[in-house]
Amino acid sequence: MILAVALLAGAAIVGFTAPRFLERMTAGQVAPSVVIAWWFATGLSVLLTALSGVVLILVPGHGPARWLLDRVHECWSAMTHGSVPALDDVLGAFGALLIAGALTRFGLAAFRRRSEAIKLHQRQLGLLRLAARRASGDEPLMWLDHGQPLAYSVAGRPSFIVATTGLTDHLSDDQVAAVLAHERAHLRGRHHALTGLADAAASAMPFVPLMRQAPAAIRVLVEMAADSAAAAAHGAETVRSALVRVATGGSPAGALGMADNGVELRLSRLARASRPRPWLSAGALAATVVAAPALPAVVGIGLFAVTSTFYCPM
Amino acid sequence: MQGLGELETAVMEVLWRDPGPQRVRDVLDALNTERDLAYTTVMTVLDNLHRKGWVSRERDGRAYRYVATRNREDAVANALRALLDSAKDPESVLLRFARSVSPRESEVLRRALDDTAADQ
Repeated sequence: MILAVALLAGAAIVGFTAPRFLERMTAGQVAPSVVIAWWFATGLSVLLTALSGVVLILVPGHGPARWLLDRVHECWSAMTHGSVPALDDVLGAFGALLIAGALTRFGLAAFRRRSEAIKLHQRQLGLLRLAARRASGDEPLMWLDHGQPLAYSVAGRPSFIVATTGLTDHLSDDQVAAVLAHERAHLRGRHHALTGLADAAASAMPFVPLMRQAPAAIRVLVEMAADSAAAAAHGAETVRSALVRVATGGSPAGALGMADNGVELRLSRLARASRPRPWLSAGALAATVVAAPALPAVVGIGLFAVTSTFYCPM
Repeated sequence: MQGLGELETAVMEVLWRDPGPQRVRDVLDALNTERDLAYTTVMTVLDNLHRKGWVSRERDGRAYRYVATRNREDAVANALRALLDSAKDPESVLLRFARSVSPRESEVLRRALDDTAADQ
């Protein structure tokens, strides 16, 4: 029971506090791919840790009862003079129901989102056949005759990039190349799938801030990742100036502000862009793989270890 | 506005090139300079286009004669507008390079760019 509660507490703490740290990482110098990895690894580990906690509550005695935990348990029993009957069962059933509901919703949302993406892809292709010129060569690039500078990518089979002639009118050749490199990075990095996963997680567990904030955060992060891919090929300053030109290029205000776009964050990151250090990113990524999955369990068990040593020193 | 499939686009191109009423046979002949399609295939495509409102038809003896209901320019303009609208959609499944911002925000952005350019 103690271990189970520790795991649940750890999952809750990480689920509620992690977004603040991840946002700081997003605003800082950490590579966007590393922050994306952190976000997904933390989300998955929160879910799995909570699941383990619920399983331990429902199946008592089968958990790994180590010496330390036994001591903590004894301490806990001594502290609480008899527990409320059947609390475990109520808590366990509630937790199991919550997690089963979340997993079902996740599956449904992922499915809905995927069929939406397929429908959009079909519709885009149908309209583009009429309105667009296909770029020569193998590149899946479609040109629209329109004055407003615009570029976007659509995932599917085949994936493709759509750009307007306004882009070539308002931007230099280098800047256009940078924008197209940015869109190619989206397709290569499967960024559409990542945002879809985040959307599904958010609609499955909107009560966990880590999940609720994922869609907006991942959208900014994939833009940053694509920016840095474009910057690696065409220079950060080129991407920066292209971003300002496209963001301010005509057209009245949309419903979305800068915070939603992350344009401001992206600009400041591009301004600070240092030379890429692949070994640093690789190291950070490795650290993510090790640290993020263990985080909720470590936090929860650590919390109980600290409290129990404080209240009843062994 | 609904877009068109690949074959539907090819059939519409034929009807747009020659605006007079055309039989399935005429469309088939025009298309088969580049490909090898069956008569029934083209007939089905024209039937679908009629159902979707892209073509109108009148009976001529035992066959139909087909005409495009809107010209090429209108169709392209409508498709373009639909594409631009889809790119504005904030919940869209597609990823945009940048969304446009309001004039006030764009002023802030320009100033931010000038400041950092001056710093360097």
